[in-house]
Amino acid sequence: MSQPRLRILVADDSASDRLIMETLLKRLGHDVIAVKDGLEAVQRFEDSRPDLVLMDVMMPELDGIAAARQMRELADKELVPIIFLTSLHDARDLAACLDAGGDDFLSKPYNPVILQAKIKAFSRLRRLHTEVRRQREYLIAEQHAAKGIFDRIANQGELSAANIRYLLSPMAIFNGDVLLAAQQPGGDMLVILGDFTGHGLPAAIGIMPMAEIFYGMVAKSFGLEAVLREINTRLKTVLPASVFCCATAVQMNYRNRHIEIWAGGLPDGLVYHTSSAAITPIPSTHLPLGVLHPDQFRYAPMIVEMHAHDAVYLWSDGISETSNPEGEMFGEQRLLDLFSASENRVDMFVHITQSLRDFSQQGIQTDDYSLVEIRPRKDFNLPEIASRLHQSERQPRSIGNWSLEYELRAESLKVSDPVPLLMHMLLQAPGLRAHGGVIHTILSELYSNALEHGVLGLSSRMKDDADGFRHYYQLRAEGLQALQDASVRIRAEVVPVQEGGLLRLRMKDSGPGFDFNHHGAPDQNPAYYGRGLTLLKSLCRRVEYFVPGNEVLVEFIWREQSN
Amino acid sequence: MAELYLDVVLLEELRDILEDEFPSLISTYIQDSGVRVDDLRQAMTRGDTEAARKAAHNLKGSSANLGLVYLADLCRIVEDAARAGQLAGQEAYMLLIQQEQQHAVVLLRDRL
Repeated sequence: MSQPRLRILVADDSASDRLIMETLLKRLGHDVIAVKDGLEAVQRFEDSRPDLVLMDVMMPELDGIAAARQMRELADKELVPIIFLTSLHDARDLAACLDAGGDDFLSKPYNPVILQAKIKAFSRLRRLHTEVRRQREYLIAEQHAAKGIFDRIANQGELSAANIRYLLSPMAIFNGDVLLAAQQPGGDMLVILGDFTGHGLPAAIGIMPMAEIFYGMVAKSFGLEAVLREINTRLKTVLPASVFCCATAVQMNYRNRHIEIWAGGLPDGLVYHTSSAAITPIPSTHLPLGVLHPDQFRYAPMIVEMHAHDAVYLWSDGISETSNPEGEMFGEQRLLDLFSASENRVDMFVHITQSLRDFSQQGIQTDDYSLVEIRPRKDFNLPEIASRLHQSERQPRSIGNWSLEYELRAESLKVSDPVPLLMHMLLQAPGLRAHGGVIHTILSELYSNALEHGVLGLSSRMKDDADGFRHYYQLRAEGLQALQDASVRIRAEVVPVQEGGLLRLRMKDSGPGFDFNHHGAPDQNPAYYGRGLTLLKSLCRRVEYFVPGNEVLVEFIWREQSN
Repeated sequence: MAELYLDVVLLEELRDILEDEFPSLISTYIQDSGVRVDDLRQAMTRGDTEAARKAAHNLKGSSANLGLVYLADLCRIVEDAARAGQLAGQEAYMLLIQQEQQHAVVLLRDRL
């Protein structure tokens, strides 16, 4: 391969040396710009953009070392090798040349063979540098595109909801942090903060199926357990063994007024009780998503009561690894101290982010952690949330006159949630999709009553206090485990009526029933029990119980919207 | 004898490479080195070590490039002394540099 023709800047105040170098280089086929001092050298460097600089160290006006410094700044990211022409033999002088950004020396008298070899070497270095830079720019452009896709996926959710505040590392996609939030048609909000192992694009790849499953399933009313099981299965199948996702997932269950939390592998988050400034830690009690075989995946969530002024805080490990200029890390303890040392009413989210900035003494752009705060919606009034329409979804072909009967027996009651499946069927009815939130609420309420009160015989009055509340969920889990010879039978019927339809739902459980005529009194304390019946009555045209109280019929009528 | 003062092989290589430019190189050096010697002498008279160092350094480099090894060595001695801040006692070398520069002019003209 022939030598490429280079543009070479020669700076030397000795006229004869300059003449020799200029002639040598021209004979080698290069273009030469020859100048006699450092000032002129910097000027010509700027306007001629040479490929290589050969420069004497001692020159009038501006010496070679100062000139080299200015050239380095002008060159910015481009590599323009600077070779000092010198007969310096003092080690300190040579070191100063290197410090100033010199790449090599050529001593006088010039040896044409060595000169040619050096030019060749630096020309190759410069080509490599340009190539590396081109590839890096290409990579950055690709990462930029990937980030665009990722942001669009993340933004299809409810991250902008008023009850969520978050800070996601600007490099989140490349350090594997992911935050997803979505609302079920019935109003429950689900949030996952995840941190994939590893860095770069391999860590980001798992985010795609995870987000797809999450948004798809939550929109179809699937709850936390089903969503996490599916994500775990997919990640286990798709990702290499070394890549998995540490995550904490939260479901704000407005119907039961509790917060359901599954934690696997992230640093312990916490629930902050604003009124008492107390905290309930969220210990990680599961293996991360994508580690266990689907059969071995465990779902043992933590369930806490939902109070209007409580908030869940989750974060990635980047937060405790934030370090100050002395290299000391912020650490878990400092973070916990922020909570315990704070007056209540302090805005914890702002307090945390500000404290981290103060600690690291860095600007906003260096935040390299993810933090999320989830609060209950201010008005967790169910019918109102439920009536939020999901009209944007495309209406599939409607099926408007049918009935189905569906019976779940003991083994099915233990493991499955029939609500998403039924929702899917029911929403086929023309115009009913617009009322998806209400239908979800009605179905959940009916099924939960049938299972928890009917089949398992649990009294909602147990939830009167915090201890009873925990006890209730413990008994529920134990009861399900021991279940035999039980069933819940669901009959759904869709009948077209003028400009709309009628949905008739009948649910019968295998339990002994209850005295529905005397069930009104607990409505006085709707925060804990008795809300169910009131809620159903507010949503349905008809709510009727049948003796002995183990069967209920509700009717819901809707009109098709014209347009 | 001339080899002690002038690296003839190096100079002949230069002639081969520079071709037509060779005479111009010789005359450039003759003119330039005369100026440097004057600079050096004046700097030493003033006791200006920095100026002396620069002039000696410059003359050393350009002389070496033309194969004038003896003159380059003399310049290096004075440059080192100037760097150490000890110009006093260097007058003898200054005299030698002056003589040797004139000698170099003769040697180079012979080669044209």
